[in-house]
Order: sequence, then structure tokens, then C-alpha cells
Amino acid sequence: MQVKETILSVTGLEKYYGTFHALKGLNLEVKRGEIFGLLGPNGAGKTTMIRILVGLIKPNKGTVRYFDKIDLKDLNDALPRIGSIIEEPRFYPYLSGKLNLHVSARYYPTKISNKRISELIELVGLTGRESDRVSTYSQGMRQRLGIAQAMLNDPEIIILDEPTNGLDPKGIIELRQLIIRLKEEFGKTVILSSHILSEVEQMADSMAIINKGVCVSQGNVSELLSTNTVNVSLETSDLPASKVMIETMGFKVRQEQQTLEFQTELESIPKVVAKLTAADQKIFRLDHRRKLEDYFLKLTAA
Amino acid sequence: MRRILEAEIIKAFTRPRSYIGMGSIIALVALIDASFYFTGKEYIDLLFQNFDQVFSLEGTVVNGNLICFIILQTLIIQLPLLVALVTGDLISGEAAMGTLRYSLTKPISRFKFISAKWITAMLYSLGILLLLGVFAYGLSLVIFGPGDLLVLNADGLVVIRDAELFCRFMAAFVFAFISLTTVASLSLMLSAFSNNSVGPIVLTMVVIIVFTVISSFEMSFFDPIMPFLFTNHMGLWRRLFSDPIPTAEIVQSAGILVLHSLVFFGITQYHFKNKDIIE
Amino acid sequence: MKKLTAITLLVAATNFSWAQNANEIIKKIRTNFQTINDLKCDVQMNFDIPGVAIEKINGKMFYKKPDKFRVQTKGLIFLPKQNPFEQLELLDDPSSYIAILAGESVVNGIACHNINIIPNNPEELVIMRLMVGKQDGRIHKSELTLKREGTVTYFNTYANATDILPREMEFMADFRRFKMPKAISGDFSSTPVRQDEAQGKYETGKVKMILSNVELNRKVDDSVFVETGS
Repeated sequence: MQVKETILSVTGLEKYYGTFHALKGLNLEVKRGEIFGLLGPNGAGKTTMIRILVGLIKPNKGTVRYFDKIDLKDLNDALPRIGSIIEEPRFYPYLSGKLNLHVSARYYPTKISNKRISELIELVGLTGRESDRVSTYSQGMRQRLGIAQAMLNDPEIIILDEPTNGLDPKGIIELRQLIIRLKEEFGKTVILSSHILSEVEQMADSMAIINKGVCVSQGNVSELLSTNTVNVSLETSDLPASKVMIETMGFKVRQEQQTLEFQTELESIPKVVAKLTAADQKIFRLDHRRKLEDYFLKLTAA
Repeated sequence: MRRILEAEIIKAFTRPRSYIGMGSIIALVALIDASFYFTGKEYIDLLFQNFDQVFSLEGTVVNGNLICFIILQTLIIQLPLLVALVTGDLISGEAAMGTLRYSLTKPISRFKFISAKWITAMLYSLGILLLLGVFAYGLSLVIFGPGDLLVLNADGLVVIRDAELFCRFMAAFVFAFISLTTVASLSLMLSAFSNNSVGPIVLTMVVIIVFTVISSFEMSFFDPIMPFLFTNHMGLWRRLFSDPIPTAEIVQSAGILVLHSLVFFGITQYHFKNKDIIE
Repeated sequence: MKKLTAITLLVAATNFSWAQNANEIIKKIRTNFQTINDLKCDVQMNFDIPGVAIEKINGKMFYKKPDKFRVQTKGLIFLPKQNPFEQLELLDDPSSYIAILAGESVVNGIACHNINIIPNNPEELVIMRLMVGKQDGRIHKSELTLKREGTVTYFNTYANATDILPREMEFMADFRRFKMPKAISGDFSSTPVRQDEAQGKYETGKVKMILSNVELNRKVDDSVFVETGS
């Protein structure tokens, strides 16, 4: 199996805003050609980290290394190979979508052709509206224009901060498809942050969960989420009796107000159900969540 | 740098706000021209009523040069305000709009970014002045014709012959450009410290108005602070219409204004270099 | 009483005799002036007016009897409020004034008779004092006391002994320096002018007209005197 090149590594990243410790020694590693999800509840430090990655803010400590050789102090050498959308994309509302792209294009050291701009407009599905003022665009159109803007320089890495924020369901689906295309058709490495697990799960290959400025978990999404161990939540007609029955099967059961909670392997659930129904226990509800999902839900609930 | 500058110019000059200043200049010039066309003689008579007892002034006093001079004098307080309306918004406006973070994630140095903004601010000032030049000088000359300029100073009158006036007006426009650059630099500096669009504009206007009001008080109480009010130096364009021209004084004031601009620019660069873009 | 009557008669007689002498002197001036109907010449205007910076300028001077006067230049000029020939115009009608010899003086090294001209019906002019050369009978200096303007003075300098018209006419008048608050002038660049300095100080302003290429009695068209400026 081919070992993928590390395209971005973050080590011991720390950032203070006054006395507030936003990042507390964050470590990350992103491989080339993958979609990397940065998952965390609001205020976890995702945006701070992303802003550090693109040079908007300076870290107090730690290193960021792109392409295995470029540090933050030489970030301008790396930026021509990076495209980004930081939070919701913002444009000059009095300019057309196309002119906005032309303005952005002038910030790159190499000339970006009109042809490239037209191609990008087509890629993001804005053909026909490119000459309209951005002020007339919907949120979804702006998001897509933002992707076009991030793609101007044909970057190797695209950083998207909460890209689906504010989009309607249709917009979310379109954007998701576009992000996946960026990886699959164009071979881009995409780093996206989100506070929605399902969003990361549906797009990302790898992910890191950030909470309170530290990375609490990092790895391959399928490995992290497809673990067999699940938390089961159960509502039956007789909770105490059901609790005893399940415990006799070797599980440690916790009774909450109206539910029984226990941890098991996914394939053991039918056995538990069979035993309860055999004992005439009525099952009103059975819910199971993967351990990481549960963990993340607790984080976000907190 | 050229491409960054192009981007900044596109942004600044396609913005509707940029044309508020230009529109008001055209409107004001047209109004002043019209008022002098119809009632210029009365205005001059009023000014000269105490002087007129012994000497009478012969010749065409109300001419294009006088109108241009009066327009320059009238707009000298307003012009910086019009410039600040645009330049005070160059950084903070982008911060408020959220576009600043987009520009700064591109591979450009912050030094170049701010330099491009600064040059754009100067180009805008130049644009305003060119417009003023065309309308105030060109149009007034077309409507009222040339002639000697009668300058009313606080301590007397100066009559400047028509042949000398083109050069003097050009020098005055150059000096006004230096003055406006100082205002643009000040507002750009304030803009770098702010994340909202209105604050730096209002603050620049307040500084200019307060300094100008203090300058206009003919009271010895303010004498010690007069040299430190850069607006005082901005008024030195008028000395180009003195006889003889106090060249050393004008050059000194221009130098002080340039120095102010550079200091403001330096502070902007220093602050912006270390600024976290968190909005 | 007799003594008083005698003194009064003596003074009256003396005055009469001085007046007679003065009228004779004036008559020569009038005769000379009567030879001038139209006048056109080049003029160089020089100004020395406190608080006013203005360079000299060349132009044309026109005069036409009875009272038309104009200096035509390409630029702005300051002129005396009265035309410089007004004093001569006044002398043209002897019934309108009383002329009295009032001593002697020396003007620019020239011995002169002082003649007071008192208008019979004073309107603007209160009194005019002429210094007329004893030898040449030409006015070398005149002082006009006017109701509104105060005293204004003309110095005349002649190029040749036979010239009727002076080559240089210098007008002098005292006036209050032109001062204007900064807020009105818009001049914030000059040194502050304090009110105490600005008030009540009279200074002398001068306008000198140097005439050349004089053309006498060649018809000057009336249109020349139509003002076009403002």
C-alpha cells in the first residue's frame, strides 16, 4: 500500500487571545489527496486554527509545516498552492461575481487567465449569472463563488471553514458533491471544518475532533466511526425486569429515567431484543449510537 | 505589486461611495460658478466696502482665476472630508465586509497590501484634485475668462498677474495633493485600527474639523499648539498666492506634511503587520 | 472800534489782493488746461499701498473733457477714487470757488505759491491746496481735503520746462489697512492678526502714474470709457 505524503503537519499549536487560551498545543497531520474533516463544537478552536493555517493570525507557539518544508514564516511561499474559504465567503457586493474573481486573481503572483476564470464559473455552476452583482446572489451561489475563488490558483490544498453554514438542504447537497469532485476529479486535498459530524462523515477520509483547543481524536473516518462498539438506549414496558435480563447476558446496564443504557457490540443487539421479546417485554424504542458519535454529541451538548 | 495595486484600484474606483465625493465637487463647483455668474459683483463690493473709500479697484475682478481660488479656498476643508470618506474605509470597510480575510489569505505580503492601499488612497486624492482642477480651474476659466487674481488675506490684499497664475495654481494643486495625502494617510491609519467602517471616517473628520477650528481662532492661547496642528500646514497652499512667495515656509510645511504622511504610513504598517485578523 | 474796522479793512484788502494774485496764477493753469480736450498716452502704474501686494503694470490712459477718465490695463489696478484731472476740471469754473494765496513752499526743490481753493458749494471737496511753481505756473503738488476720504495728495513731476502735463503723477492718501477676519478671508495660513493691532491705524498708500507717448487732442472715442469689468 502506498504511503501518502504528509501535506500539512501542525505541532504544538497554541494561541492566546488575552488570557483566553484558544489553542492548547494542537497537533494534526493531513495527507495529500484526502478530505480532512476538522470536527468540533462551536468555540472549539477550529476557526482559530484555520486562520493560523492561512496566516490571518499568528500563533503564540507551535509549528505549521506545509508540503513537508514550508513553515509559517515563509507562508507566502505556500499560499500560492493553497485556496481557502474562511467562514462564510465574502465578496465586494457592488462587483459582479466575475469581477470579484478577477480582483482575487490579481493577488496571485502568476497571471490567472480569463479562460481559467470562465472554467471555474462553469465548474461551480454560476454560468449565466457571472456578470450579475454579488449582492443579488443567494447564499449558496456565494458559497460556490467562494469555491471558485479558492480554486483560482489551482491549489493543492483547499481549506474550507464551515462551508455548509447558512445553506439550504439543496445547497448543502450541491456543495458536498462539489467538494467530493474536487478531491476525486482534481486530486485536491481538502481540509474542511464543521461542527456537524454527519457532514464530516459523508465527505471526509480522515478527521480530527477538536475540543477546547486540543485534538481529542484523530484518524481515518471509517475507522473512527465504524467501530462495532455502540451505546444502546432502550425503552421497554418494564425497565427493572429488562435491566436484570440484559445484565444476565453479561452487559453493564445503567438505568436512566425512562431508558436503559448499555454498551455492546453491534451484532449483539438482535440477541438482546430476542431475549426481551421472549420474556414478553414490550420494546417501545431502541436506539444505538457509535461510541465516537456519542462522545461528540456529549461535547456539543456541553 | 502592480497587480495588487490594480486590484485595489478596481475595488476603490468601482465603489459607489467613491463617487459621492466627486459628485459633490462637481455640484459645489457648479453652484459657486453659478452664484458668481449672477451675483459675483455684489460679493466683491461687499468685501471691499471699507477699502473702497480711497482707492478704487479697476479691472475684471470676478474672473476664472478668482473663482478657482475661491473654490479651492471653500473646498479646502471639505476636500479632506471627502477623501476620508473613501480612504478611511479602505481597510476597516474590508474588515467590516469580511473581505479583508480573503485578500490576506492570498500570497501577498501585508506590507505590499498596505502599500497598495496607501497608493490607492493617494490616487483617489489625486483623482479628486484632478476633477477639481478640471472643473474649478478649467470650467471657471471657460465661463469667466482669465484675469488677474485678487487674493484677500487676513492681513491684506495681493494682486497676482494672470501670466503667473497657471504655475501658481499648479503648485497649489501639488501642495493640496500633499495635504490630502496626509489626510488619506491619517484615515488609512485609523482604518487599520478599526473593524468598522464608520469610526475612522468620523474620527478623521473630527480631527480635521477640531484642528481647523483651533487654527481659525485668532487667540494667543492657542499659539503654542499651532505648529503641531498639521491642518495649519495644509493651509499653506494659500501662501503660493502671496507676494513674494515664502518658498522656504511652504517647502517646510510640505515637508512636515510629508513627514506626517510617512509617520502615519509607518504606524499603519507596523500595526497591520502584527494584527490578528479575527473579524 | 476804529482800530478794529481798520484792521478788518486791511485784512479784507489784503485777502482781496491775495485772491487777485491767486486768480491770476490759477488763470494760467486754466489756460493751459483749456488746450487739452482729448488725451491718450501710455501709462505705467506703480503701487505702494500698505497691505496690498501688487506689481506695476503698463497700460493706456485716456482723458476726454469734460470729465471722462480711464486707465486701461490688462490686469487689475488701484486708482485714486477721483480722477487726477478733477482738480483742473474744478478750476475751469472760477465762479464755483474762491482762490486764496496761502504762503509759499518748496516742492521737490521748486519754489511754489500755496493757493487754497475753497468751493462755494462744498459737496465732496472741502478745500483744495495747490502748490504752483512760481516760475512755471504748473501745479507741483495738490492736497484735497475730502469729506469722506480725508486728505489726498498729488505730486506732479514734469519732464520738460514747457510741458503742460506732468510726466509722473503720484497720488497719496491715508487709509486704514485692509484687514479681514480669517473666518471671512479663509486665510488660515498667515500669522494671526490680533484685533488690537488691526484697529485705528492709518497708513499712507501711494499710486504713481508715469506717462509717456502722450497724444494730445487726437479724438478719443467715447466707447473707450465704457466699463466692461466687474
